[in-house]
Amino acid sequence: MATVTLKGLSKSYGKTQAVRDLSVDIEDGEFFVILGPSGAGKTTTLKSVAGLVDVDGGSVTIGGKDVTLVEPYHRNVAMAFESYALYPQKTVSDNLASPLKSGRTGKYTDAQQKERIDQVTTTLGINHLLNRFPRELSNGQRQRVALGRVLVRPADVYLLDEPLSHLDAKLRAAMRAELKQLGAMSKTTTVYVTHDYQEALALGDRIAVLRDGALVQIGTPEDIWRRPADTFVARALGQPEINLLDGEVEDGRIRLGGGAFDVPVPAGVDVRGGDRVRVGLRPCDIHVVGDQAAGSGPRLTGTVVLAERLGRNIELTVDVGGEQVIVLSSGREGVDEGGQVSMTVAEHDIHVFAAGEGDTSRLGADHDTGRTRGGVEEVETAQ
Amino acid sequence: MTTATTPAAGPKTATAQSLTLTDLVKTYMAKGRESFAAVKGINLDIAPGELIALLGPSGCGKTTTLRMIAGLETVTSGSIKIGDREISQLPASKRGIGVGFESYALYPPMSVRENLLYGLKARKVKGAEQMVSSISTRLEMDDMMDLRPAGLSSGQKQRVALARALVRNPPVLLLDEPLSHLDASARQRVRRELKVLQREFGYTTIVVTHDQVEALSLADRLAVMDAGVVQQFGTPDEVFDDPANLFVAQFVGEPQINVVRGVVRSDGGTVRVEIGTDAGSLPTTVTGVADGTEVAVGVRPQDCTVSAGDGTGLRTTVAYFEHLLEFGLATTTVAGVQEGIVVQTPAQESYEPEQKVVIGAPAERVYLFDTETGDRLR
Repeated sequence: MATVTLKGLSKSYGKTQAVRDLSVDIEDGEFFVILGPSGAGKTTTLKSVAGLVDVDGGSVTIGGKDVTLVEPYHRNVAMAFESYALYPQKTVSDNLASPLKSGRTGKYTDAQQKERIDQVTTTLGINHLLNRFPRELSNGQRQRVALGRVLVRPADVYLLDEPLSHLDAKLRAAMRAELKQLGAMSKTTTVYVTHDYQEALALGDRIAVLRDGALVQIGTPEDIWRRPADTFVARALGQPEINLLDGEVEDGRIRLGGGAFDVPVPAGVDVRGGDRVRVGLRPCDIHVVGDQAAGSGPRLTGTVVLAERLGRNIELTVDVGGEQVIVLSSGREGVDEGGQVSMTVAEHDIHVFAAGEGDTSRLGADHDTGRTRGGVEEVETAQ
Repeated sequence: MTTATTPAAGPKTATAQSLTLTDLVKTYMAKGRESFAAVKGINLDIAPGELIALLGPSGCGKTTTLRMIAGLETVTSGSIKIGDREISQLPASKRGIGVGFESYALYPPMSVRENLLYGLKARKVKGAEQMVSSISTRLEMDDMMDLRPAGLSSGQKQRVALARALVRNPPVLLLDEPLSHLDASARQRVRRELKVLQREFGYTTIVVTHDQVEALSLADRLAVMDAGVVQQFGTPDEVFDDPANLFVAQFVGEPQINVVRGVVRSDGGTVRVEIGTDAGSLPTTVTGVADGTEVAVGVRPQDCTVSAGDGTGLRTTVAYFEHLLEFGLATTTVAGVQEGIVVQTPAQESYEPEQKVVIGAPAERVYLFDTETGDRLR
């Protein structure tokens, strides 16, 4: 049970800066997810909390105590590695007992050890594997054992590095659902690293999105989904990826596709006539409507180039005034290739970003970026 | 060098041809060991210009099938025809098939142009320069011809590998996991691009993949394979909405289809299938199964509807609920059933653990399977 505070954390490996000036406040009992592509600095951040890397700058505080220079085993954290890190010569039972036997964090009698191991193996459904060796387990089973070894000992903070990445899709979905229950049950502060946006949305009380070692956005799943801080965050969430279209503001509307169609400037977005912007529209937020339907919101019309099945949904590639727009349709009706479709988008589903190449930031009402957060904190500290 | 001025004006393949596999078998035999049947009699009729996906888990025989068509693997028995031409006994080089492999297999010290020319020059093909210029124009890659592979994005490398497979204008194109090396974002883009190119140029194409979303979205028709046998050959809509057996139903679709035991109850007109202990039932359009038969019931999470209160349907209790913003996923439990039933719920709805909900589904989306064989019951 503890808060975790990272302040100005930095770490380089040679010329590569893995983490840049990262400041994050994690609340007691929070399930905190770090999301980013490979190379974003997620694992380095987690290892910094665990004490497994020497940081170049900044501090790590757990439960109000600065542990930046404290040895890993005195931090009272438990970490699960993506590569399992099980003892190959020990059975599952002995692997699970090892954190209880180390003696650094309290003594457990044989009976207490057995009780704790029983509890964890029952929760994770690995009771029948106790006498097996890691080599005799499937990847999914190994991952459960690695998770069990974290949960078996009470710790102030659980650190989990991609704990579901080696599971097949079905098991991953099932474990994801269970894991949240485990977290809620134990009420232990958990930092969870993943590159899978669905995992982040499903599990996180809050999510920090990292890119190139720097914090891009921090917020609840809802914040991150509805108000992505920039095009990087917008593209990181959602499949198929969000559509990004170049546009120009004119008379309170944003003209897209070289003027072939337009959408209104959403409320709270401060732009002027002549401004160039980028408009983000998620494929799932664009709704195909029948011609007669009295749709509210802006209306787009285009020609279906491709209608491809994506599971239950049909993914449409629609040519709207020369722009290719990806749209999800719930069925095949009225969306034949070569045919015309009408679509609507609700005003609150229109995301507006600054114009430019690469990733550009969101325009409009305030959003909770790492920088503003860091700034607020500094003010508090100064007082 | 190039004479084509616009890509669209480039020559279309005049030669798109049908591909027919008849009773194709591959058995691996080794002295002192049991023989292993990798492919157990495959029949596929592929129309000229069609894009077919071979989909299945690893070890299902899809890659062996592709390698037999390419001539990289001998055929134990059966026939492979391009048009009317039997090719199963021809060496690979005489088959006129373009092959693109999973790893792009580009030569790092050579430019894109040299990579494309290499195979042609090795075979002393006449007019090689002309052929390379033509394919480069058609695939709109003129501006990358002098770059080395290291300087290309993964999508561009994929394009080069594709160009190399297409440079000799083959009547049949084989692609082994063409998108597996791309990140999620590039994979979507390249997939759409590949489909548009394939449509435009009309190559008869076979793509091998283990990714069901890729197969559904890319293919005109897909062959779902398991244990060396084609389990179903049909359009994406047929495979998704009308699965031939339990394997196909479970392999295709994410989240995976729910499968639970049930008992058919038919009283005159309406047929329902009872699930669990006194928990209610789901409707079905199946008529050929006797009252009281035990069956495996399959229903996709996206096809389930959830209502509070006590409508007709399956009475369940929510065990977990996840909100994924685009939609929610509720895992529910049914009295007397071990497996949970997962239901996809609309974005605006939210559920709590322990909440009682009633699950329904359209009758035509509730599939019944034989509990022994997994065959679809109709």
